[in-house]
Amino acid sequence: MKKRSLTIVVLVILAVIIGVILFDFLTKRPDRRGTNPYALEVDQYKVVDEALISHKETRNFSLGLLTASGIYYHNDSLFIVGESSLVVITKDGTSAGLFEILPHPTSLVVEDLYLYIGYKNFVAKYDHMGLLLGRWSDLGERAVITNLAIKEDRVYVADAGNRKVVIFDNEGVKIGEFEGKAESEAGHGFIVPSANFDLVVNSYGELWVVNPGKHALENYSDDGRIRGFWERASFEIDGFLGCCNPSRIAVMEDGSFITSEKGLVRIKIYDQSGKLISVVAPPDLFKEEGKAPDVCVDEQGVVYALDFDKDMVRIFEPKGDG
Amino acid sequence: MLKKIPNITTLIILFLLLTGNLLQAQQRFPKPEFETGYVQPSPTTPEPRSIALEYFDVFVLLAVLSLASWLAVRKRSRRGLLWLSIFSLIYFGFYRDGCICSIGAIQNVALSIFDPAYAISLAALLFFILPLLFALFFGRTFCAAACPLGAIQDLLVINPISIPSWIRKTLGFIPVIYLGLSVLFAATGSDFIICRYDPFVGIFRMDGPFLMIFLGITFLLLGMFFARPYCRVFCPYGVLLGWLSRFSKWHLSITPSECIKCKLCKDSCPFDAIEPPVSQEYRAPEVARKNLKRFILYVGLIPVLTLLGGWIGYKSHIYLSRVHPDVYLAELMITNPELKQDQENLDIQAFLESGDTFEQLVEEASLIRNKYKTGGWVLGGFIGLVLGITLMNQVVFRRREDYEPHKGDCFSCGRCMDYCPVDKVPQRKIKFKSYGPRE
Repeated sequence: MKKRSLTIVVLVILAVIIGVILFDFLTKRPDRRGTNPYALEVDQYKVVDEALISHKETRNFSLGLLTASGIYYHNDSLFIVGESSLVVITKDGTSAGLFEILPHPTSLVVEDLYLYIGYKNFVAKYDHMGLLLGRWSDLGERAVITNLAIKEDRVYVADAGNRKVVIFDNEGVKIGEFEGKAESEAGHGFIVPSANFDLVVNSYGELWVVNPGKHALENYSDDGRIRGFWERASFEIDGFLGCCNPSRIAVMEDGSFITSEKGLVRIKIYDQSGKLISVVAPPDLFKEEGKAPDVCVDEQGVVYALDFDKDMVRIFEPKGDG
Repeated sequence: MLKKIPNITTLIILFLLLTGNLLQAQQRFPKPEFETGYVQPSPTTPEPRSIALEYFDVFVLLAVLSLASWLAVRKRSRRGLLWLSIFSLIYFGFYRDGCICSIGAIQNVALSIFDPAYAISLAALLFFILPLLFALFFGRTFCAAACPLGAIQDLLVINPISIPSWIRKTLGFIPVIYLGLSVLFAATGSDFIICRYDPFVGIFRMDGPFLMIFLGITFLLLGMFFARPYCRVFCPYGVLLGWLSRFSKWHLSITPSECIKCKLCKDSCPFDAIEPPVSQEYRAPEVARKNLKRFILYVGLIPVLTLLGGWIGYKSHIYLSRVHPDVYLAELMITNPELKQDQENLDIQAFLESGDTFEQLVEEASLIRNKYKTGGWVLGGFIGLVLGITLMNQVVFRRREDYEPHKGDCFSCGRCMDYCPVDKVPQRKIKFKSYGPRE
């Protein structure tokens, strides 16, 4: 090829390159972009095998003006906190008490004599008549208390802000704390990307803490040593997905866990070793991309879900043989 | 010397231990489970690297630049430069995935100057500065052997043609505009266009969008006949290197002693970067007078072109500012409010999910547009100034008796040294024959 022709070819190719770059630069704009090829499609995971579903929603009741933030079951009653109120409701939905408490509670735990209510960075102790007995020491500006659990005279506080569990005695004296860290791979430390960090004490007195970033439930001694754990990261029904699931947990009499997830909202039951037993409520019963309902369970296995998106308590009873 | 060896060994062991520990560090979050059919997006940038390894990259760059300068200026070894460039291609290109890169570092530096919230890493800063410093003293030895983008093109130069000077000079203006635009867009936080249109990064990573791969292959094919097309027609960093290289005291020289004007070097250079001796006719009084008049005219034009360019840049600020996603989005939502309901529009939906109000977006867009007013002036003025100086240089003839590399354009690749017969064979064996023009 002659030099002149080659020069023209070179110039044409350069012009094409510049043209392509300019075209791309001018067309990749917010109103001219194609669809997102990496969109997270979870529709297929919303479908749950009917045989897996062990409960059905039998009742629900609205909480009226109350914007609830936590629910707890104790002695045939449901205790619900929200705004600046504590509401006590019997299992059939009849109101059994309404008390004014310090505003903006986040969580609660109830025992025979007292109630312990969690706030952003402190815990308040009440009696069953709604009388404030004490406001415990502040956990600091970074603290975000998300849940409480109780064992005899010890109150366990899940602090999502500082990613640790703080232990108080029932008079509010801090007696310990741990971050879930250990030398082994299992003790990675709590990974808490958002304010979803729950813990329970089961009927055997074992403390189980959710490590949401790892999609794990971890069993700890009071001095912070990890004694066992299981983790299930999966899109499928037998696992947890997203950044911070399970977001809420409760524990049944036999030690099985009720788990509640956000995003793809679903409530499930796992045995102590992490094997999926059944599904209480599939995703299609909840708002798409919704918040994780707070959950509690009674002695008969009835699951009470505080649905934050619908602002109501939803009751799921076991289907039974029939 | 022997006593130093244990010290060096200790340092190497310490380094390996340190980096080894860092490499074992866990990610803050475990990777989510995506084994159930989800297609993960290709990363646009490589995984973060530990600080120690970033400094190791700087050390490698420094070593390569030092060695390249020595090979070009003292050792005069084309073969050494070639092998060094292959090393850089493998290390900075395929191993480091083309990132960190001195060319793209222009944007990091620009953003760090104009955005106080952005802190540039020391490694990125050194990647920007070191090649410029070496260019100031030794010429563009970075282009010769340290730049993976240059190396990959250089290896595929097969049958380079010589392009007429006026076309080369015209094309050579594109990198100036590209430099100005990339600095403006980076300084205003709008876009990193150098990285976005880096044609070879997709090849280095063996992955990338179609456009990136297309551009890379096209540049390589083009480079077979028009050597190093990206370096000569696009590279914005080459503009800075070229300017500084003009002042280099120890630039590569074609001949180790006296030039015999065999012209072999000029024919060997695939980049048309070798200037012939200035003929006597340019020194004739009547030509000199004519050139002086043109020189005065062009010097007078410099402020005019600078102001005119600045004014055009200022007038273009509205259009230019639309490159910033916030400005574009604000305008889009003002002119097409119904798009707020469009669930398929990712940018608008992402904004709506962010929690910011529309008023905040508009206010932010106004602030950015104001920055573009100043930026437009500076960009236009800069382009006008360079245009004026380029015109002025057309009539400046420096005394040149021999064939010499153009210090600004020469990539210090060493081909001319390799071809130069001086001191390689006895003088009497050289046959002076004419070489036809390069095809």
